[in-house]
Amino acid sequence: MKKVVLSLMIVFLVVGLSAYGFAWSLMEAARPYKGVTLHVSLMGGYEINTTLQKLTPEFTEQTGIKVVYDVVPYEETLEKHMILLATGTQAYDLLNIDNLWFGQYVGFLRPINDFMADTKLTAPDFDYEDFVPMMRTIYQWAEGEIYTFPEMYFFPVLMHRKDLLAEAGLALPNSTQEFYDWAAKLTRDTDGDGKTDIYGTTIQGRRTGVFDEILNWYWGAGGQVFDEYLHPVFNNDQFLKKLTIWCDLYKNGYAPPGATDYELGEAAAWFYQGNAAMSCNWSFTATWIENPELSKIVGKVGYMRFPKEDPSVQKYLREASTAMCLPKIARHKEAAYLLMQWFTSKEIQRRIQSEFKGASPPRFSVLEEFIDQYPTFRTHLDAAEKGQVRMVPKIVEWSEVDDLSALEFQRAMIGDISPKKALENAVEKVERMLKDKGYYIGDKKYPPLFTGRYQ
Amino acid sequence: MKIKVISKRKIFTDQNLKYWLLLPVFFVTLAVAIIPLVYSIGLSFFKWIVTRPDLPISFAGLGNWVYILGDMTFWEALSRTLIFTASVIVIEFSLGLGIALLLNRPFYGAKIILPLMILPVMLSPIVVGLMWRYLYNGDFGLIAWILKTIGFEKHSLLSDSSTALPAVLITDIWHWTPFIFILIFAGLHSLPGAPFEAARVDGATKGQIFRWVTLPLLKRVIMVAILLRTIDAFKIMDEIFIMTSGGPGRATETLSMLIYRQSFRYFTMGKGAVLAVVSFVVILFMCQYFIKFATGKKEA
Repeated sequence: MKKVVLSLMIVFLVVGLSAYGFAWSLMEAARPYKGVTLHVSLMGGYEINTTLQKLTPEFTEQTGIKVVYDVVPYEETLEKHMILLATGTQAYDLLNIDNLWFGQYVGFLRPINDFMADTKLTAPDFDYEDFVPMMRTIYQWAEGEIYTFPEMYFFPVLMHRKDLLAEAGLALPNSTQEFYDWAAKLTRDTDGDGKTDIYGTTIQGRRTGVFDEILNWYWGAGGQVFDEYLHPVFNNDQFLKKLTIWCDLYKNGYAPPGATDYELGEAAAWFYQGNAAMSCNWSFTATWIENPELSKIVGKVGYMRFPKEDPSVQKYLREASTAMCLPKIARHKEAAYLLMQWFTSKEIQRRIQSEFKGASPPRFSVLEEFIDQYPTFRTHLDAAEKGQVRMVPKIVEWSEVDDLSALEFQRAMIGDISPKKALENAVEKVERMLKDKGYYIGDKKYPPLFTGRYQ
Repeated sequence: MKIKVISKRKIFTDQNLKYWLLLPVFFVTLAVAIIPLVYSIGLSFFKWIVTRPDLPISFAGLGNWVYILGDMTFWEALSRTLIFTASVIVIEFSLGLGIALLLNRPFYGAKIILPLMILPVMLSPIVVGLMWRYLYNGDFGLIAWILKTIGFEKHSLLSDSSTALPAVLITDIWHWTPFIFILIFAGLHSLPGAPFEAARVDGATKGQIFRWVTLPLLKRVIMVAILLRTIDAFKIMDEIFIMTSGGPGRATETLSMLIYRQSFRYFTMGKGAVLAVVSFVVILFMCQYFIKFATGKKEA
């Protein structure tokens, strides 16, 4: 009997020690790369990137991998990266990008499927399936090729001052028209000096923000940007109605007069300074709005998905995300992968929410854990579970489509041309550009991922 | 067969010295100007989309040229650039000449005032663009506040398509008038005194002296000043990029902004090269005209 017990103890000891020896640890995974210095390009203006820089010393301590960050203004990121990638310059091991540009980058990026399958590099509890499905899809290209893990998950929400709406006796708007009417009613001169003190809503009139705002309204009404052949088809009454409303918000003084120059930061600042009753903005800006050090309206704001006018539409919320991608020419690919994996792991994502008052986590588990602490997480989770989030059409030239259209819409906004003419110009220029890029080949049809045609 | 042997003495003569001294300049010009120019001209006939590494660089013939020249956006940007250039040159020259004539005499505080006069031209275009963008800002800018105080309704000059380009024009005038001023001022100081003396003895008025003595003597300096400013004004990019990015709408989109957009936003390098070549050709014509005008007629 004693021999049996002793034998069993030895077996358990051996198995236990073996398990300990084979347990995955970041330190062990990084051992071959100790002493390496990674160069990472980060986009400026994102709180999550500031948090990343604060947390990185811990990564370095665990792995011995040093990280040098180069923060680039958002507007310059694409240009800077493309020049480096096109010339084969090995400046960075990781590139922080907006998912909007993913199609332009993908030809220069290295898929990470093999790294994910490598048990030495990937933690067994990393749990890729924990990411919101659309956030997984947007960073995939050819069937199953995964290029990175998302750092953030957000979409535009309608933020509204609960106190001002209650004061005016208004319920939440149910349509774009109601949103316009509410903006008209909520624009007020509060001190009687003849000047508007509170505007009905902010809008993002800068070239980089225009198309996104109108697209949400349009998709919510069942609109499509392309047909199956990738011809632009948004020159229709539905889009015209949304564009006209958007232009009228500015022209009639229901949006701030400086809105032609506003992107998400300026619009958010205007709103959290208490100068507007509503704001359509990216949900992660709630972090600033609920920050008592910045905001004058903490606790007074409600967050809702912009009302969809077509009940049959499922996917209509313009998804957004940022991520760090691995260029093919990166010097230290495995070490870069470890950093990418570490920052998007459950543990770090939880700490971002709890210690740094977070942003917009792309993981279900983190959204659920902090759902009561952040006002937008319930909306995020619900939208993810119901599959309401959608990508922009996944063509390489999407940025160009956006820019060409936004330019015409901005002209309509300032009254240079009518919204109808702006829409005609936009569609004509997009069609011409795509034809020049060789997209219209006979009767070739494109998949929904390219055309964005999914309900 | 006789082999002609050129001795070292014949290669390194005083007569050949000027060519040897020019050789480094020649190579530098070749490397930074001629070769890139030839490359750009060649590139304009090729289709190269940086963001589509799956598509090889292919010969496009006149495809890029037809695309660009068939786009009204190009013609609007070109005419906008020409109008902008002509406007700034006329105003900057008038102001620069006027200030130079005004200060071309001894006056108290000249040692302080003259350096301050040329301070704007010492600032980099990026700094100037940022400074004036904030001055024009409708929410906190000084100029916007002054305009509102005197009853001007517009929120910000840069937010309105009818005032954005004039606002950029004012910035450019503030930035570069001192350049014209200093060239003409230096030119005035280098003029010989005898013709002026003779004119005064002959009973010429100040206006007649200015028209028939000063201006003709200053002609070459003026031409250099106008030529250099014309080239720079036509290529304006930095201030517009910082202040308006070509907006609102297309109100301040110049040819350089269009080149930037095609090449570094859309990454269609062939089309960007077309625009760059057009820009070069226009500048070349302007230079040819000015040089001909400056060197053509001899003084009576």
